[in-house]
Amino acid sequence: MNHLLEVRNLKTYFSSDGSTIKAVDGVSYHIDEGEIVAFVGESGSGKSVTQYSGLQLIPTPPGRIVDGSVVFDGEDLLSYKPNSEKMRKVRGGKIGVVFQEPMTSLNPVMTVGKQISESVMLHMGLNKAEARKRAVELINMVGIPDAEHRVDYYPHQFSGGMRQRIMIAMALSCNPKLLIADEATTALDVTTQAQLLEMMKDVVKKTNTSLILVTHNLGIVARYAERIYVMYAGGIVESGPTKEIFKNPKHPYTIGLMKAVPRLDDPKDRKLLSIEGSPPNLANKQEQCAFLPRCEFATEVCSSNPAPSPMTVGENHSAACYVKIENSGWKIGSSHVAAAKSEVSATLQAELQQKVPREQKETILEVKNLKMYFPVTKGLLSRKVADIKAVDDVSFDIRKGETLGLVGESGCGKTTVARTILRMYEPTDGSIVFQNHDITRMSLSKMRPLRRDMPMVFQDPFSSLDPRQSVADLVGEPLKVHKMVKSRKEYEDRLVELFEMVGLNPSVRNRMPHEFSGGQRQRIGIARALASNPSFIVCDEAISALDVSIQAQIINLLEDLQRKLGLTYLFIAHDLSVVRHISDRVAVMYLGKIVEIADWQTLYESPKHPYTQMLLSAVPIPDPFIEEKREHVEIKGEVPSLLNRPKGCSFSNRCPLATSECKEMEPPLKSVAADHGVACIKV
Amino acid sequence: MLTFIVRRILQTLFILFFVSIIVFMIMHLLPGDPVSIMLGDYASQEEIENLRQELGLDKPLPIQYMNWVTNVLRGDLGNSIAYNQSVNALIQQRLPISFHIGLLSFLLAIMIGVPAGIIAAVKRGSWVDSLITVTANMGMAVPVFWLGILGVYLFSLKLGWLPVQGYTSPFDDFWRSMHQSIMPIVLLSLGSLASLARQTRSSMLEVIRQDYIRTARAKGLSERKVVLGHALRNALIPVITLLGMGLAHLVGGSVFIEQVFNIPGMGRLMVQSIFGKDYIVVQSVVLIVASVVAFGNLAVDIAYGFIDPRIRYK
Repeated sequence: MNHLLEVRNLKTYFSSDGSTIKAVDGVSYHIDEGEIVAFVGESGSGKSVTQYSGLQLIPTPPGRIVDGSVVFDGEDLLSYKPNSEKMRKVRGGKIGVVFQEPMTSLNPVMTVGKQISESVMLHMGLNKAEARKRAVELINMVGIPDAEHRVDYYPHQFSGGMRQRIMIAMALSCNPKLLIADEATTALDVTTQAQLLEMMKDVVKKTNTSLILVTHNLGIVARYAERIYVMYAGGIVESGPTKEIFKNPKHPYTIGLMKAVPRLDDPKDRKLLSIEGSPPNLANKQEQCAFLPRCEFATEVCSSNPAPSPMTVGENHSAACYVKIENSGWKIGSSHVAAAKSEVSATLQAELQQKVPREQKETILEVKNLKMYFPVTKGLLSRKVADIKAVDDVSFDIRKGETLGLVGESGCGKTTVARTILRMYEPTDGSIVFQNHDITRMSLSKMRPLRRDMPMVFQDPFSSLDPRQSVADLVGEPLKVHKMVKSRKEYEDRLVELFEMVGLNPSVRNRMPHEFSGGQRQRIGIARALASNPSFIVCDEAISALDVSIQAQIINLLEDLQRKLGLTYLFIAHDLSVVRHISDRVAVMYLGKIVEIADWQTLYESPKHPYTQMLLSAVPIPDPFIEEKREHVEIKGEVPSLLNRPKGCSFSNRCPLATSECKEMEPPLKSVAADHGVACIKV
Repeated sequence: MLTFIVRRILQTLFILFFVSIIVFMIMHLLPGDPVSIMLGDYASQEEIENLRQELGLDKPLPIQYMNWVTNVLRGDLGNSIAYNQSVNALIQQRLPISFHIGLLSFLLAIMIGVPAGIIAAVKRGSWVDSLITVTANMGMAVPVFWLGILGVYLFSLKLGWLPVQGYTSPFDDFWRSMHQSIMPIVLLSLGSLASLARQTRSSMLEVIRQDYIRTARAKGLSERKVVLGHALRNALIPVITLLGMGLAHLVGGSVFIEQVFNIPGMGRLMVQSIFGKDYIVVQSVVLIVASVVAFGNLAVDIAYGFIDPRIRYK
């Protein structure tokens, strides 16, 4: 049988500043009709460029398709001119693409109906009225209510999830044979992600459309893909059926990835095994295997031979590696728990055993009934017409040495909580007691000495470091601000110590931020937070911008530092697996309120609040065998705007348990067991 | 959107109020006395006092201002000291002339500058792009007066194609009018044209990099539709801001051009009045010019709303 899409030896290079970046370097793969295939890899691995090359959507210059063939439906797409009519018939007509960023992928000055009609008119030859009808139909199909009316809306009138639904409607509008979803759900919340992937899967299965999922999320791969291609540094390093690859990964990079990803069903004491180093610079790619510098299985053969091409290692399973890895140290499923446990150090286990009960630990931060409202103004005189209750009556405490994970979907108020605690906003009401000082209304000058004890690590390592200061200045700034060093020598010594602490070579300290990779920059951000020798650190999505293998390195670093320095963390994240891994206690937020708070085990193993249950069910586990058996809670609707908070319980409009009672009053956070609070009247 | 417009109109009125105060102050605080200029050096003290009283110049400044503003609001701009004519009548003669030159050069700047910018952006890196960019940069850098002198020398004196100076209303003799005004119009438009071309180019390049342009291409649209249908409207948003500023630029340029080509417009009137210390005329002219620029910018802001739905639905 002929494949729907067959790519042979595709090479796409980019030239920049005189050097050639081999973004895609000899990639071959195929897709059959009706198949769901995943391309997995970290940023810069070339997985997206591979997809765009076939459609000739690569900007030329600086891009250039150097070699290869992309045979789709019997015709080589690369033989067409980039903007020829034939090429354009394929784009949108036979191959639909859903892009990563729903917020920027739709034209802001054109109604969504018009944007959908445009493709339908082009490829299906419909007239304006018919096209509009089709657009309404499609908007309906992707689950947007009131399509008849919404078709005339502009993109900014939709939420991110809704915009992505519209992108999907657009990509599917002309009944394509292949749908490419390029990190289509990465920017979205887990519940929206699950809804959209479920929907895409249903549609493609119904219409026998093939689907390519380009993603870095192994959980999504495990839940949805039938076959996988793993990419690294512009090449496919391993390919095969999903289950086979998860059970029996053969390439060291795949094995490394599996070990690095935190999972929702991990044993708590599993130490994430990060892949050391960082991906290679593709500008001066070496002859040998690109993974060689980071590979733990490397042998003599690897360094003396050119990069290996894919070799068959099992049925439909191939890996580009010279080494026949028999014992990878990776086992999937239940036995993996045991394997992982043995990697825990003896000291850690001792620590775990002699745990001090929570009540006896000192309280470092206590937040009571915290409220942070932002006014909504309207009209000529900017009258206040309403409040955005970004944080509404939130209470919790953090004990010394523990990590409180704050999770929730975007817009739930978790970052606002952190900023209010640090007094970047003036709290509307409530109290914040930090190390026995009531700082709720403390003057900013009195706050200053306390600030050195409450630094923050930010989300985006690229924009949170001043690009014009050397990293030594960045890390050393708190020392100067808080006058913590007396002499130049003391300052330098402390810098060296800080750099070593976060695993960076101190000799790099006079470089500028742009010379570092994302993971290294995040280490610099952590070093800066550690500079003032704090006891408490707020990590606001500190690892969400990082790739899986780097993410594990930073999580491990944070955990090590906590043990060594006795740090307390407020760890804000949307990734539930990561939060589970790092936190002692977890608070779940929804629309500005904490709906459930408990120790990690209780919260993850027996969640009580329906929202927590829904969230957890939405997170895919990177294990196809478990995913197969897992039951999923149906996810209804999407997060309402803070201005349209449902009456009574905020979650009542999406809750499977909701009754009329729930719409009458706001449920208070009540204690259901020791240190376990749930805001639901049904519990 | 309505609130937005009302708010902007109020802002505009506020701006005009400030302009009126500043203009009034400047003319009265500057050294030199209009009365002595009007009466000549040999006037007696008594004559001077009489005239001052007649013109209301003996009253305190706030009262003078109030009187002036009240009259302006009634539509009476006062009487010119030098021309012995009502300022209203003067403006009625001069304003249409400046509008004629100004409006045409404004349109010329848009009609050539914007397409040039689009072409340069689409053909980025080609010789067409280089040509347009270099020309635009030169257009911005070279002073208009120098180009004016050069133009007069080349086209009028050497080649004899165009008259050296003069102005005729297009309603009196269309061809003669065109003949006379073509060089001033072109020269006046050059600065705005060049900056429009540059702004359009850079804003177009910015938009072409956006994700939604990739989406449009991925739909299979032709490059023409991608550029004109998707990119242009987004790219025009910053260009329109520039139009508002271009208006002010045009006013400044017209003062100069009218002087060089001996066109009896507002710019020339202003220059003459300043030299003649005809403060009532200067006040009126500046106020009118400021109103035109302020309302032009108001129009620009309202135009945003129509181009960008994100502003409309706020």
